[in-house]
Amino acid sequence: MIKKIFSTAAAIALFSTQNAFAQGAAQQLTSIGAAGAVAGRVTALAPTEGAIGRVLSSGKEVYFKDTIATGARGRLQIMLADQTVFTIGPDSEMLIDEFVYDPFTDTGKVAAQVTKGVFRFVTGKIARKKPSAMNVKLPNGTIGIRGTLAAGKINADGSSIVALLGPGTGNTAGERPGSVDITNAGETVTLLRPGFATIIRPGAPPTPPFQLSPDQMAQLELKPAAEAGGGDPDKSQDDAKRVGQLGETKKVSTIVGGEGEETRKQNDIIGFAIQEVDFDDPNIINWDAFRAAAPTSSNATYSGNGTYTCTGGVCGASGSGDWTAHFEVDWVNKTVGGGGTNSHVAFQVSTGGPLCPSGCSSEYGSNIDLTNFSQLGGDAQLIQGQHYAGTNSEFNGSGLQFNNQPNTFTGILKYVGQGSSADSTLTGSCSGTCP
Amino acid sequence: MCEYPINSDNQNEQETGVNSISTQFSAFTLSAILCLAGPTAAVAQNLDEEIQRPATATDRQQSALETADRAEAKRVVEGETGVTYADVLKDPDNIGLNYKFAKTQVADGDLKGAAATLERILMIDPALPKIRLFYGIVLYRLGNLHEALRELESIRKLPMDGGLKGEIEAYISRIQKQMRRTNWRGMAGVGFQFDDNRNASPSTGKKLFLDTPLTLTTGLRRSDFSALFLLGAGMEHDLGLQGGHKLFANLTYYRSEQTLVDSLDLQVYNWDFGTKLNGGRWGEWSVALPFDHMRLSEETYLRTYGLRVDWNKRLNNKLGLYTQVQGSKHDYVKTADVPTARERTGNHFHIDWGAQYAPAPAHQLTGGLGYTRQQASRDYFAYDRWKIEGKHAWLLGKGRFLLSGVTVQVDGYDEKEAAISAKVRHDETVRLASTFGYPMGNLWSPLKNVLWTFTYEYYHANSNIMNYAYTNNKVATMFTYRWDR
Repeated sequence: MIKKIFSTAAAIALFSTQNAFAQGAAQQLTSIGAAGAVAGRVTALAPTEGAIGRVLSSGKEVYFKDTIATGARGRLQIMLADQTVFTIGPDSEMLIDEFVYDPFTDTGKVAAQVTKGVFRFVTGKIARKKPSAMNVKLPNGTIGIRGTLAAGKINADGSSIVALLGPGTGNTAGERPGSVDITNAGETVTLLRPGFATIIRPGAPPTPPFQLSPDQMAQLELKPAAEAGGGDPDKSQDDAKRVGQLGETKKVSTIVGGEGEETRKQNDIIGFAIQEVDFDDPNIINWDAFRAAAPTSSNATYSGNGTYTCTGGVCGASGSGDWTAHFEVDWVNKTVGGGGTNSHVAFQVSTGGPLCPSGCSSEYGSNIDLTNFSQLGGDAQLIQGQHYAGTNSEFNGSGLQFNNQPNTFTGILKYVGQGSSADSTLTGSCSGTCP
Repeated sequence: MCEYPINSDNQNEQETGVNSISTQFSAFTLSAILCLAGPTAAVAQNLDEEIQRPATATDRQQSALETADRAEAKRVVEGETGVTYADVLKDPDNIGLNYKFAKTQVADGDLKGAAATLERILMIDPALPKIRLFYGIVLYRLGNLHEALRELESIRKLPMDGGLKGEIEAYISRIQKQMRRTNWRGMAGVGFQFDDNRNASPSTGKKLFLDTPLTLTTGLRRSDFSALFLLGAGMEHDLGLQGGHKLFANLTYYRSEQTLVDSLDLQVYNWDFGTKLNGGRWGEWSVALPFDHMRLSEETYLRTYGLRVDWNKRLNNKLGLYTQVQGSKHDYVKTADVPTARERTGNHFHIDWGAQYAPAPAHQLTGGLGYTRQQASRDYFAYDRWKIEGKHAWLLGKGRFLLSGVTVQVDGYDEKEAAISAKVRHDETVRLASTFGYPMGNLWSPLKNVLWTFTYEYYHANSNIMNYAYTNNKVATMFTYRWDR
């Protein structure tokens, strides 16, 4: 099947084969879609040799044969290239088992396995063209789909409930009525009417269809409840700022262990070394982890004020002055700094101090664009003084350091020049969308 | 048609087949002369067409109402295009982008996809009443009534502007009605019609009698206005099974009251009851027992009762197939104006096949073929009819629509009508019709349940018997009010 996928990949216009990871990741990973509406802990593991599990955030690509798992508060949508959409709830796990799609003819095949948790799906172009071209396997039983919306829940005892959600007979959408065939133990039950469901128990045929109660229906719900508010979706900017304010405890997952431990084959999910780390936990170790749990479509501004002491040279026996440190983080674009007044990494010694008696308004800083926060180093140290060498070597050794705390950073000011030396640290705070 | 009463009571002769030209001749001569000169000359020349008028009018109005529903449903997404799935994949949590994409999906007829997109928005930010409303409407249109209701009820108490709140309450009410096991609905229409040849007078101004063209002195082309009335009530009862099978009953009353040609005043009572069955992949079936009672000029003229089976199947979101088969008994009753009506009594059978294709959400094309077999106690009233028709429904935006259609029929009668011609009648007819619909709620919101329609129809009949070759033009307008509970 992988061979089949690869032969079809050339026809996939929307997606390209890419590396999942910079280090050692297999070249042949095939992107089949993207993740959206990610909240809580969500991880993905591709089966390809050399691949490692990764934290999945909105906009990240989903690869063929990815096993996607959610934490206790995790949820997401998996948006496949043919517009098939799986919605996965907390403590769930699924595998895109087969995906072949020719966007020119809208033909292909979709097969998925849901091994635990709550799920919903909406069929896309493949199933629209050929309804029988999509199926979903459960721990017990198979769902044959005929152009529809459906949902299900897999219980701890291995039993499952599967419900049809539409389109119904007589729908006014012009849609062909949907149906699902649920098969287990050699028998098939067909759901024809939205709101009806069947239960599959291990080794037993599916039960006759029955109408879901409101409580049962609610168990298949994956959206948060409506909250007070009167938002207008036309005001996309405002809405974008609201993203992430869902009250979720922000946790991230990161991979620990050596490269050998990170290499897994498709079915080597057991023992997958994911360590869940809270932001309050000092073990949070890099900016990627930081960002993974941070809201998207948002910026954070870190700034602080400090006082430096200076001796010798222009400072005389002793002098002091004020200084500021400032930097911005764009979580989406993975950049620090950016440009414009006060929108880049900056140190500034204030006018009136010994290092700047008058008219000193220049900022000693540097714009830094990073393609990956992990470049900032495992100790989450953002900038060391050498970055300033090109700007003002007298400030070598200055820098900003992320404190592994949700809202603070440390600024370090070092100055050696003109016969003087200065040394200071400050603690800054975060505003905007902060972890 | 001019009717000849002489044979109407001669049942023995009819049954034994003793029906020679010679024995009929003197009777036809007398009756034809009486017909051409007498008061019945005002009766339509083509009664076969006349009995179709009520059905044509009510079917057209029913199509208009169904199209109005689709036009109204489309209104919510008008004006949004251009966002692609690829755009959304690049920025899947951009709420504004997703919102536009959902509207584009609905505009493109992809409501399932829109449901997923709106769900995504609400996963990102659940506190958006406008999105909840949109999501609820999409689920409602997909037939997922329980979830649609839950979505809308979850936001009905949130603070929001009055217009949005009113819309949410209206949809909650509509969904709750649909979720009832038994639903009732009704409609009332009033309007008028102008017909420039109400009595279907021959285009030549002449009529054949014994193959001799006679210039008409009476029965000349008469234009006329008529008042139209349409009343309807219907009931559906959900059997509560997962197939969604239902029982239904409908009652319709149609009345056309002529200003001048009172002999063509029409009234039709129609009722039918039956069951709708969901056959899953085998399509949707409806089996009904229809009954019609037609009155012509205040007298019972025709009773029809039979069995009708409908089958529909959507192959995909764009293409659907349909078939209708009906067998019925047409039982004519002698009236003062049409004393020979009983000669038309006989069995009726028709079958229609067709397909509906929606190349775009705003357009729907229908193409169909039909065959009808009408039997009669006199063979010159019995015929075979082949029909081909095409229709186009165009949703113009803001709830407006334009329905256009063309129907071509070929009728071949079984036997010559000797008093008129030695030739067996053969007709070819063309009907062109167009109906514009406009929801009156656009002008004044309290009229939201009122639909205004304006119809133009051109009808042309060619026949090898000049008596039946004619044209007429009709314009009709109607205001229709609907309610359901």
